[in-house]
Amino acid sequence: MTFPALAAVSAAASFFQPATPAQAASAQGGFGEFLTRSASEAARTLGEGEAAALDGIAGRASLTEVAGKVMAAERTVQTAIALRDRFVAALQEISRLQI
Amino acid sequence: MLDPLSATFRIAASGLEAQSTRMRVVAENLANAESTGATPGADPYRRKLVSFDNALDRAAGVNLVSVKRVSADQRPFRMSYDPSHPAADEKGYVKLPNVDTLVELADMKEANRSYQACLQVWRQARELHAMTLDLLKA
Repeated sequence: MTFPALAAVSAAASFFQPATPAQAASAQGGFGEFLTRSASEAARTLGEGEAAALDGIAGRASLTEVAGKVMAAERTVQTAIALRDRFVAALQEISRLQI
Repeated sequence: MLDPLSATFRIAASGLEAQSTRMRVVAENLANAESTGATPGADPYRRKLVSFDNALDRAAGVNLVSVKRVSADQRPFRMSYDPSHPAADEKGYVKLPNVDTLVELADMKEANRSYQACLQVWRQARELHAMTLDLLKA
């Protein structure tokens, strides 16, 4: 016998975490992988931006180049943070569900 | 295929780069508007011209702009009668650069406007990106 509320919770949970263990593992890997990739991508563009800024101060790169690289880094970091916040908020929503 | 907004940033950046090169050439022309040679009959500064070309960025599949070449203006030099000048020829004429200050000023204004237009494109694309990102934050 199942309570309707429990069924609803498990249905909601299965939306984020598929029922079978293998699928659940891949779903966790998905979010983990997203975090890893977005963090490394953000670090890479930040590094590019910093290198361009140093080149610009030394007079080796043009101002437009520096502005472009720095703003690309800003965009990547902003996007990664917004997506992370969104995913974390969704996960917290699940963990706060009343049983 | 690059994200269209990111591509817009790159295209605008290439426009800024091209227009600043044009600005540099105008500055050279204006600064050298009175640069004559030092020996009798020597050629003075020759006006420089900048020409642009569209450059296909294959990785992104977009057309950027690049400076094709900075070439020399082949118009004849201005002649001025000044026998005491060190660059004066045997008849007393000095060759002056073929730079027309008024034309340079007009070119500078045009470079300025094009630069502003590219900056505006950049600003708008940035705004669109920020607005779309706000959807995620809400």
